[in-house]
This record gives sequence, structure tokens and C-alpha cells, in this order.
Amino acid sequence: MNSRSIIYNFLVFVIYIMLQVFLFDNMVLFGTAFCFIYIGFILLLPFEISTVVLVLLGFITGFSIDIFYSSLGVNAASATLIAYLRPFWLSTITPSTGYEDVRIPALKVMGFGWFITYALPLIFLHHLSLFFIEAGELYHFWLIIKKTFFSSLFTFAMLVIGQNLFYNRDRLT
Amino acid sequence: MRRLFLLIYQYRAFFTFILLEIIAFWLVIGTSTFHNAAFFNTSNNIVASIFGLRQGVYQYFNLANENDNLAKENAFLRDLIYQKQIAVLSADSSLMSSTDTAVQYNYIPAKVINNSTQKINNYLTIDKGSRDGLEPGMGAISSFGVVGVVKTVSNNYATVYSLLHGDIQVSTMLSRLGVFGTTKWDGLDPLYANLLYIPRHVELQVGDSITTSGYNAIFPEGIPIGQIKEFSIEENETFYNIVVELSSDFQSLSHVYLIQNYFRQEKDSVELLNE
Repeated sequence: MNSRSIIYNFLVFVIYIMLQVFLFDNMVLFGTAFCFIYIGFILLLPFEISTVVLVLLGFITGFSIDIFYSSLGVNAASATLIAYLRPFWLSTITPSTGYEDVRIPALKVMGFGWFITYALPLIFLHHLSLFFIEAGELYHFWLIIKKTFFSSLFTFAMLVIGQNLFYNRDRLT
Repeated sequence: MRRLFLLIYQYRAFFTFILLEIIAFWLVIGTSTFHNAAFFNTSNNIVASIFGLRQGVYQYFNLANENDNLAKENAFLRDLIYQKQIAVLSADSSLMSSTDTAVQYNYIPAKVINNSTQKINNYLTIDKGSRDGLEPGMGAISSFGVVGVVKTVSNNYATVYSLLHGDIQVSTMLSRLGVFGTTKWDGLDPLYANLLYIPRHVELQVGDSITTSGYNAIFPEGIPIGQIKEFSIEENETFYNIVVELSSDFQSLSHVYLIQNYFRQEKDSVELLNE
């Protein structure tokens, strides 16, 4: 990773945080579907990045969101979790052709089917842990399940749209 | 020792993960004890000024609504003046006590620059801080009723626990009957809260209005909280299950007033003496 791609990824990081805080903070559909677009940053980091760095980045991303949300630790815990699980999940679902000539596990290069199997379980796990840690108890169990389900779909849809609009193919391979 | 380091190095990703998760959970559990840690919070100057920028854009979309609310508040205040005049004309002795309360409380206006209503624990960020005399623990009200309690303050900004927060309970009075209870939000609908500890023998009516009781030093007596929407009681229970329609519309809050209680310290220290 050279210094140019570090700067590039830092800008991407800032954009994701700003999107989350300015746009998606107040965009809640039907009182149940939240969008945590910021985990797109963790999901779409290059393959080459080491797990230690990935976990650290996950923590930093979640922590930055927590500062804006007054929910110290909640997003940090969930984002760290999926950042740690990402490499294992990636190696579990390696396609038969492998990940050759691909730099980023993105929709446009890997295909829609693969991207669903990659992103949706991680998004679901992130939201589930997030809502449970936020609630801090099991009193709202079914509400949390409902919120997790609809929010996962919402986040996933936004990630797909975002990638179609803003990620260009040259950067990905 | 060397082997230990090798082991740690080999599983360094796992150990980093565990360490960070421990820090995260420590933050989650300890959040309430970091009362003065205004830095990692929405009352942080940088974060709050970003919210301020955003609010600067949003507020134009809300102007019509905002005018409506101000007009309503004006009408209410005019009504108060009218009642005061009547009291003066009839030279009522109760006027003495009402001037006392006027000196006891000071209201500091503030603009809401960030607000959430959909989470299980909700907060507001406002554009006044310690420089304007705010302190943690002060009450916040809107033109229509109770809003919350100040959590942390920085120089220019403050974070406020919304009434829509699991840890906030407001001491409540049923104005018509003079009965006391506690209002608490159940985490579901931002329009409704629950009224707890109203005993079986009280005869409730739908539409009874509930206000703050004045038992704690945070809110003065008689600030509206809401109206009873529905109530029920189980065969073998002591207390009613009461749903209250909140009088503050949390989804469109734009201005709040912070309540500065000049007698708070005095009241708290007297109460400490009793213990």
C-alpha cells in the first residue's frame, strides 16, 4: 500500500462518515429501517490489507460514528466484530477462480450473486450486534430482530446503489 | 518467554480484536460514568459545529412549522399575562408566592442542532454551553413541555438526554387529582410514554393532563408532560398501566429552554442533611 492509496482511502473514510452523519442519521424508514452505510468502508477495503490493520480501522470507524451518535462504544464494538470476521468470511466464500486480478471485493468486479453472499451476512451480523448492544437487554427482542432485518436490507440496497454510482471499475482491479 | 511472544505474534489479529472489543464494551458500560468526558461526545466543539452547519441548512425547510410553534407559544404567553393582570387587579395574596418562583428559575433559550427520536436511547445537541451558564443535570423544556436533562457540557455546546432515553425518569403529578407518579419512555414510539406507579384507587380519565411535580430540583412544578391516552389495570396488580401522549413533539424540536434553578444547591444540601 503506497502513500497515495492511503490518502485515497482516508478520503473515502471521511466521505463515508460524513454520509452517515449528514444524510443517513435522520433517514429512518417506517421507524424500523436504519442505514449504517459506513460499514461499506470496511467491506470495500482492498484484499491486501492485513487483519490487524483491518480490525484497527474497524474500531476507528465505529468509534468516529459513536462520537456523532453519543453512543460511545456501541458502533465501535460492532464494526470491530465484522472487520475481524471479514477475512475469514472472504476465504470461506472464495470463488473457484480465486481473487486474482481483483483489488477490492466490490459489486462491479465480483458480480451481484457473490456480493450478496459476501455483504449481506456481515451487514446482518453488524446490525444485530449493534442493536443488541445499544438496547443492553433482551426486553425488546422482537423489535430488535425486526429492526435488524429491515435495516440490513436498507443498508445493503444503499451500498449497491452507491457502488453503481460512485465506484469506477479502474480503481477496483 | 520467547515462545509466549511468538504465540502472541502468531495470533496478533485475534488479540488486537479481543483488546479492541474489551475497550469498546468498557466504553459502552462506562458511558454513564464519563459524565464530564465532553470530548468524545456531541458536545465536543468540532462535532457540534459540524452539526451546527447541518442545522443551518435544515432550518430553512422548517420555517413554516417553526412560525406556527412560535405563534402558539405567543398565544399561550399572552394568556398568562392576562391571568396575571386579573390576579393583580384582585390583589390576590398568592401573587407573593408566584413572584418567588419567578426569581427561583431562569430560562436560557437554546437552539437544537442535533436530535434523534428513533433510537432506544436518544439525545439532543444544543448550541449553548458552560459559557452560557449550563451545567450537567439542568432540565430542558420546549414551548409545549418537558424535553430532557443536560448530560454533558463543553464551552459552547451541550448534549441533552432526551425524555426518550431509557435512563430518564421524570417525577410527575396528575394535575386534576394531585397524585404523584413517574414518567418513563418504553423505547418504542416517540409520541408516547408510560406513566408508572399510579395506584389502583385513583379514578383516572382519558385526557387527564400530567405535569412535572416539582419534587426534584430539575423542573419547576407544573411544566406539562402530556395527556393520558389510555389506561388499564390487571386483576392482581397494584398500579395502572398508563399510556401518555407527550405534549412535546420530539420529531420537530428546534428550540428549547434550559432551566437554571438558583435554589438547587440549597435544596440538595437541605435534603442531604435529612439523610
